[in-house]
Amino acid sequence: MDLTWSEEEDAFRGEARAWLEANVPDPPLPSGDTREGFAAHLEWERRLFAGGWAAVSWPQRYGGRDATLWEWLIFEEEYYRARAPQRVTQNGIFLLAPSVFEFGTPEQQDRILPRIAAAEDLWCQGWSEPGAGSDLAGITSRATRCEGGWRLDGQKLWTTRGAFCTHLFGLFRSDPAAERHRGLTYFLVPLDAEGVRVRGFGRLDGDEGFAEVFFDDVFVPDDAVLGDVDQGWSVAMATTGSERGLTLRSPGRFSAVVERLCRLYRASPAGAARRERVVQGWMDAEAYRLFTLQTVTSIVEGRPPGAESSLNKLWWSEMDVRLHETALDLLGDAAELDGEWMRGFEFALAGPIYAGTNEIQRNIAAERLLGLPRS
Amino acid sequence: MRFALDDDALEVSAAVASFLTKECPPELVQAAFNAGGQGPADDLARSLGEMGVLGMLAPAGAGGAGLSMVAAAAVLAEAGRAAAPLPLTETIALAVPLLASAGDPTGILERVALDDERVAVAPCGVAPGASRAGWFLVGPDPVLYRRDEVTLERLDSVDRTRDLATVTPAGPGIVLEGRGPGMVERGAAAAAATLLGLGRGMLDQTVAYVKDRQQFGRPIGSFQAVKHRLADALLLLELAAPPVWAAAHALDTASPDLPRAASLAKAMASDAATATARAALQAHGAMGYTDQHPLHLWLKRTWCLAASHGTARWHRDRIAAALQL
Ligand SMILES: Cc1cc2nc3c(=O)[nH]c(=O)nc-3n(C[C@H](O)[C@H](O)[C@H](O)COP(=O)(O)OP(=O)(O)OC[C@H]3O[C@@H](n4cnc5c(N)ncnc54)[C@H](O)[C@@H]3O)c2cc1C
Repeated sequence: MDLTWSEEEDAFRGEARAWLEANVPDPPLPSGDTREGFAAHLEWERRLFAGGWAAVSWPQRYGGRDATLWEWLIFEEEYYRARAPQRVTQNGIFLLAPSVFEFGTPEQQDRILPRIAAAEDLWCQGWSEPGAGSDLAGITSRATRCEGGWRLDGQKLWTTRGAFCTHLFGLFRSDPAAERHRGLTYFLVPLDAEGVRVRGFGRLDGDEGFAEVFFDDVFVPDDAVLGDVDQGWSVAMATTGSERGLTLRSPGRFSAVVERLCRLYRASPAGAARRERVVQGWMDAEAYRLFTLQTVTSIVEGRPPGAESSLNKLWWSEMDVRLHETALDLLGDAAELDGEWMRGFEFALAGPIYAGTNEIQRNIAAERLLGLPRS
Repeated sequence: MRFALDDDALEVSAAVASFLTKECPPELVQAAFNAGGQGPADDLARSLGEMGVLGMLAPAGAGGAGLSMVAAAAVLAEAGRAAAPLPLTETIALAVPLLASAGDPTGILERVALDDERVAVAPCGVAPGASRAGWFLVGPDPVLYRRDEVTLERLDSVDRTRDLATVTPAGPGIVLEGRGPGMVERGAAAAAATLLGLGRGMLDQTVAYVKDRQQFGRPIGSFQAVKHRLADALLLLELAAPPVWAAAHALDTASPDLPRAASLAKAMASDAATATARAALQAHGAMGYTDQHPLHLWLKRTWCLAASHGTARWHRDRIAAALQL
């Protein structure tokens, strides 16, 4: 056990903090899940990139700064502490890129990664379909071989920020005769390709953060395939692993919410009765921070988490709901106002649904961690 | 930065785990329960003394192994997993290090480490393991009394291995000077580690049971209602574990955050273990609701430790104060 940061890590923190203090927009940007807000967020992403902070843990040649995983964690802490904007490049940096690093050809890596870091290409995630949510292997969008590439047909749904993005990564059925989990291929598709139609629509909070994406005989070349043909399931699962495991929701995010919650509590005249819930919120976030230190240690020492990442996802998503419920409770009759806490609450409610619902995570924990029989 | 148990903690806790698997099966815990925490429990205590486990926190010169509190927490988690019917939380993590850091004023440390002498610990005036103790450490700023300097009044704990009594001092005693972090933090961290182990033990047993027990022609562990409840218990236990190691480490490093860290560990571990106890009982059905099946031993120990060294609510209050809430 050693819970101290090295001199270099402290220096890294200092540098990140100073840069964020000088650059974080004030007043905060409008929501990145709206059209004008998205544009403002793009500007912010480009400023981050110019400062070298867009993807700190990536190699320098792709636009990162070769930071360690520990430094990444520090950066996240400082990022949320500074109340910096939401990351509209999230899907590219944290969901697609890990798969490109693992499965991409050198040509794909050189072509795709720097443009993600620079926020030139904006990626959305095309997995879910009308008939395939939790049962992801039930997707029916098709990929048919043709001269020099593939033709894509079908529909994706719940595509986050699809209406504002330039590219989509997604799974398509390339071998309809194969067993459900086989015969899927992972494709990288520009949304301006002929035959793609994107329709944005409102989420619970009314922002146009959702989209459905239609593919009608869309041609993509062979180098739009990530990983091997018909091996899309394993490529996609590597991405869900990193999503749940660590990168999607770092502890700094929740520690920052707790700090705001404590301030709200101190300012609430009727707060005293909620003291214990506020304390519990701090405890949940602190336990998550320590749990993450344990996870990062395991990764750094070559023991990456497997199904354990289901626990991580269950914890942060349910904690986030509880934190916001407590805040709304403290707000009393002001809770109904469409303000920061209500917005945060609405978004928190999505946590137990996306990235694999919490019922699915509990199935995984029970079957793979406890070894219980399948239902 | 490295958040993981070090090799010494892993080695000593693995040795204790394999010893307890052999020497402390559920039948022995039940027999100790029937004997009011004595009989077979005494043999176990002697063996743990010979292994160097009781004195693991005493300095090497004083009959101990000079190990870290993190290692002791890992050992206590294994003791909890086996529901070892001894006040190990108090002996290993309170009596020995408190005496050691006060310079062993009565020269009993080596004998305590070998279980030739017992010291019962009563932070709030109530001590487990009272009837066999020759010495008593009483109060949050502990004072050491000889057996003939106190009067004992037996209390019936729901867990009969606890051998509980109120301790009323009737002599001057010896104030322990220079003893470092106090009773509250040590007790909270150690009880938290034991509770974590109790929870893990109950979950292990329950998983084995629900895989085996069949209803409606299938193992009950295949029913989602059962699976999800056990997944929730696992979640609570796995998130309570890092705070337990962090609290122990805060003791090892005399961290300024120690009070908060210790309270976090105890509150999280108490809540996780009591929730696991509920889930374990429910998943066992009526089989768990009998004194013929060993689960009751774990349930009762869990309730006792959750209530002692500060309840979860009491520790949340302390955290609130530390956070200026
Ligand atoms: C804010 C938000 C953003 C999203 N962004 C994206 C995105 O960018 N790209 C993308 O592809 N998708 C995205 N999604 C979709 C998300 O991945 C799906 O919502 C999720 O996989 C669940 O699928 P579903 O909504 O069809 O629900 P269903 O699968 O229909 O599930 C409905 C309910 O049934 C339960 N259920 C289903 N199967 C089981 C089972 N076996 N055992 C127990 N309970 C079960 C579920 O847990 C859930 O409670 C997003 C969703 C949200 C809310």
